[in-house]
Order: sequence, then C-alpha cells, then structure tokens
Amino acid sequence: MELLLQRIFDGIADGMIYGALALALVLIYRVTGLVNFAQGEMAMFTTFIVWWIARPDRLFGWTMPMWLAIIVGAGAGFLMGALIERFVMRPFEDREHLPQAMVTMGIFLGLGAVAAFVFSVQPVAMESVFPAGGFTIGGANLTWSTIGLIIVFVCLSLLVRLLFVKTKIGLAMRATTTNASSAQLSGVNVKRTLMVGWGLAGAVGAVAGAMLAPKLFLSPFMMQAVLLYAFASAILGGLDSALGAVVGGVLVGLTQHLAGGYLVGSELQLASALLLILIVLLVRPQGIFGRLKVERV
Amino acid sequence: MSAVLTPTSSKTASTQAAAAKRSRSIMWLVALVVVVLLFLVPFGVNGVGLGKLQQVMYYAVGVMSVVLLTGRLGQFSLGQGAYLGLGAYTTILLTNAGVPWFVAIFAAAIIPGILGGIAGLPALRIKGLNLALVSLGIAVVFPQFVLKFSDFSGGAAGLAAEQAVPSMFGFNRAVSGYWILLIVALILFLLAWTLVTSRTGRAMVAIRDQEIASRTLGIDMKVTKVSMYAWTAAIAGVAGWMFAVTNRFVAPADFSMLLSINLVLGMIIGGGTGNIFIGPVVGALFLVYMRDFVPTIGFDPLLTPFVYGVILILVLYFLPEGASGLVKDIGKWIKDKRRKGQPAPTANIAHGVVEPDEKAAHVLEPEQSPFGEGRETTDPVTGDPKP
Repeated sequence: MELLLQRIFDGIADGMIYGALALALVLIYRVTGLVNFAQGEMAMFTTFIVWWIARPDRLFGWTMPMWLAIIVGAGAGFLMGALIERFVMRPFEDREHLPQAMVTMGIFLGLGAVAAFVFSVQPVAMESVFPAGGFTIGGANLTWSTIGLIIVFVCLSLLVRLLFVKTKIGLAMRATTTNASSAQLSGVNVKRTLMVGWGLAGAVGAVAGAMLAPKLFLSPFMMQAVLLYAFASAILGGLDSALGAVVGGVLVGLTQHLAGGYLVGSELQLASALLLILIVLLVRPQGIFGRLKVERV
Repeated sequence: MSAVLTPTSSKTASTQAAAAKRSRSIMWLVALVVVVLLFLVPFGVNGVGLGKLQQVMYYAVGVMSVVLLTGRLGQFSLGQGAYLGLGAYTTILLTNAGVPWFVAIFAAAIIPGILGGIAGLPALRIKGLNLALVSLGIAVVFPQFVLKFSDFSGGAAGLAAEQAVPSMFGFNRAVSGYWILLIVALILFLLAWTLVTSRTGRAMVAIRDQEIASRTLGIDMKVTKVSMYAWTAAIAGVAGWMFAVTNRFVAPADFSMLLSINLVLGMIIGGGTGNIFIGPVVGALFLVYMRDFVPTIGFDPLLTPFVYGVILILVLYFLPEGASGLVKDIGKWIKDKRRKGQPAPTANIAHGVVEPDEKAAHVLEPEQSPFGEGRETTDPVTGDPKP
C-alpha cells in the first residue's frame, strides 16, 4: 500500500515535468503545426546554462541562488527559441511539415553536440531549487520537491492558458494557428507571433529541464528518453491543448511508474509510453482535450 | 516517347529511339564496369579501407530502406535503426546457436519484416508527424528490450559472434566479408530498383503525392502501405545482418535512436526522391567518411553531430532533393549544353513537329509516372476521360 502510494507520488512528480515539456511542444505545435524534435535538447541546453551560472562563486565570488538562475535560464531559453525560429526555421516557413521536422532534427543533433563540447560529456549533479526532505503520508514519502513541482507547473500551465485566452499576443497565436494568411490580413504580425511561440516553448522547456536535472543527472543525453514521455503526454492530452499537456503528463507519469513497478519492470517503462502513444493515436487521435481537425478535401 | 504529329517526323522519331536505345546500352555497360571494379577493389585497398567500405555497404542498404519508405512512400520513419538492430541481433543469436550465416540472413529479414508490417498498421489511421513519433518510439524502445532480456541478449555488454564468417576462395576475413556484403547489397539494390520501376513503385509515389486521388484510381492504399513497411523493415534487417558480418559484435548502444536519425540524415544528404542507387550510396559515404573527415578540418570530434546538423539544414535548404537531385541537375545541364551545340532542327519546325517538351517528357517517364499501366488517362481519339 505504501509502495503504491509512493509510486503514485513519484508518478505525479515526474508527470509534471513531462507535462511541462509537453506544454513546450504544444506551444510550438499551436503556432506552427509542427512537432519539434529538438525540444528536449533545447531544454537540456538551457539547463546547462542554469547549472553553469548557479555554480558556486561563478560570478565574481557571488553564488547566484537557484531560483534566480532558473529565471535567467528561462530568459535564455526564450532568447534561444526566438533566435532558432528567426534564423533556422524561418527560411523553411514555406516548406511542408516533413522537411521542417527534419530541420528540427538537425537542431537536435547540433545542440546536443555543442552542449557536450561547451559544458560536459560526463553527467554532472545539479542541486534542486526545492528544499530537501518532506513529510510522510500513509507511509509514503511526499517530498517538498514533489509539492514544489506541482505548484510550479500548475501555475505555469495556468499562465500559458491565460496567455492564450486573455492577451493580445495569445489571440494572435491562436489566429495564426487557425489560418496564418487570414491572420496576416487582419493585421497580426505572424512572423513575430511565431518567434514568440518558439521563445515561450524555449522558456517553458528551460524551467522543465532545471526541475528535471536534479532528479536525473545533467548530461547531453538526459533528454533522449524523457522526450518520448513528453511526446506521449502531448499526444495523450491533445497536441493543441495547454491544459491537456499537463493532464497528459500526469497520466504518463503514473503509467510509467505503475506499469514499471507492477507489470513490465523498470527497463520497459519506455515501452509503456510507446504503447500509450499507439493506443491514443489509434483510438482517439486528437487526444483527450484536443480538437479534431476537420479537413475539406 | 516523342510527340509524333506528322508522318514526316517518323524518321526523327526512329533516330531518337535509336539514340535512347544506345544511351540505355551505354548505361548498362557503365553499370557492368562499375560492378566489376567494385569486385576488384580488395586488390587495391588494405584491410582498414575494406572495413570502411563494408560499413558503407550496410549503411547504404539501411539508408535505402529509409529512401523507399520516406522518400518514395512519404512515411516519415525514425525507427529503421531498430529493425537494423533486430536483424543484427537475430543474426548473432542464430549463428551462435549453430545456424549458418547464409540461413540466418533469411531470419534477419523475416523477423524484422513481420514486426515492421505490424508497426505499419497504425499508418492506416495515423498520418504525418504523429506516425513519425510512433517510429521514433520504436527506435528509443528497442535498446530497452535488449537490456530487459539480457539473459540471452548479452545486455549492455553486447554479444560477440562465435562463428567465423565463411571464407571466399580462401581469402582473408576482410576480403571475403567485403565480397559477401557486396553481393548481398547488389542483390538488394537490384530488387529495390525493380520495385521502384514496377507498378507498386509508381503506386508508392502516387500515394505520397495524392493519397485520395490515387485511391480513386484503384491503388490499394492499405496493402501498399503495410507491405512497404514490412519490406523496408526486412531490408533494414538484412542491413543488420551485414552489420553483424562486418563487426561480428552487437551492443544496444550501436542501435540507439541516433542510428535511426543517422539513416534519415543519409537519406536527406543522398536525396530521398531521386535515383535509388545514387541517393543511398552518397548518403552512406557521407555517414562513414564524414566522421573521419570532421576532425581533420579542425573541429573537435565531439562536434561531429553539430557539423552533421548544420550540413543537414543546409542541404535541406539548398538541395531539397539531395545529392541525387544534384546529379540529375548536372545531367540535365550537360544535355542542354549538348543540344545547344547541335544545329537546331529547323526543318522539323517547318513541318509542324512539336519538340517534346523536356518537362512533359520527363513527367511521362515510367519511373516518374505515378499512375501505373493506365498511363493514358484520356482517350487519344475523343479526348474523353477513360473509365
């Protein structure tokens, strides 16, 4: 019983991170209709930036507190996402999604190599922004980090939702998704909107990475498996739904820990994510919260 | 193929047909010379060089499977590396159990083929990038299965082949391995060539370009898609057999997601839509030799994937059809140049002969034409659409 509860807690904590990465995927999917294969590597890269600036005595003998470093990292992530959109993706904006997705694979390869070269090939430990410890409920350990993760990512997804629904740039983003040329004609700056979409994805990814790295070790290969969980979360929740991403993330986290604990063993946890992707795509391709795209042919 | 409109042009038509026949026989001659030269390579290259060429061959076959599936059928697959790994593991496990290498090759094709067919079933419902995610999942999960069943797969430490590769005419391992791989690769490429020039090959292109239109024309989309998933997985499985023959050792790290991405990279560099020989071979040459080349131009070896990524993006931008597109363009340029050198056929124009439009003739070439045997979709007499 304690074990079950513990697995549920762990599943929710991991699921929050998958959900955040899925949220980053959704941000880009919503504005471009594109699945960004480089999302994990972008998050990994900005996490390395956070790790680098938060190292003791890095800045003239002053150690930056972790929370501030994460905010700086999110800013760097925004900048990186916007720059990637402007200088790498923009030349391909008239192409189909397939070549565009291949370009994001090129970014995937490039960022991984640069991170290995600039920062470290060896996995490094990163301290958590949350205090250690926690308390016990029914024999299971609920850590502060789990509670913190839930608070941070629920707030983050609410913020993104508010951004989409209440702000002008959110409206522009939704308009761009629905019909880019009509949006352009109604005075929406589509190019800037795309940049903002990529930038936001970079920022959200940076926060997710900085929360994930203390759980695993920070390395250039950290995200390769996590990205599959994030894809599973995004597909489960619906690729165009910000709320769905977080719900999907929690469900994927629970599936991973419960299936890994009771059914298939720890090696095949990833297979459970793949199975989940398959089932969702076959049964309900638009996901739980997604809207089905109806096409006129 | 030329548009013969008046009786007076029949002579030009026959000379053109003769020219086409001549150029075709020249092509066969060149192909024959190339094949003979390929068989003679071991007499001029040392063991290390032969090892590299063996890598080129299994990469070429692996890239070819991606070219067929992604370039021709339009199904973006990031999972071919998993089938390659499955083929390699099947081979090593069977040969270690005493099965001869040349029997294991069939298992190395059939087992991934069946799995690939099953993995292709979702393609009937899912399209585009979602499908790519499924294939990516297969690529990521495959090494995990190897780790899970480490009792007989050797786990993370890998598995070595116990059986020696059969020697050909008493030559050493490198030379006979090279010849064996060359024969297998040539057979596979010939099969692929017959496939893309066949009715199925044209149906694939039709499904890629106009799925609904091709279905209304009677192409069985389901059978074509699933069977192509199975075939390409089988081809990748044989590439895995070639991997096993070359390295005689397999480990899960060899078949990570990176291998699948590299195969797609090879397809992009070589060109997915163009010539079935040039694309995969150029892609494989790139994958094998670029790794050695990057450090020599002053980059840290760690940055090799970075260079790959930059080249991938540049090729996608400047050469959307990859190297084989470039070769096609150069060929066309030479043809145009030669045509300009010849005197213009003024007499024919006077008789009202319409020069076959380069582009229109190109569209009607059987390999390019999407619509199989019923190429003429309108009745030549009345101009009505054929039923």
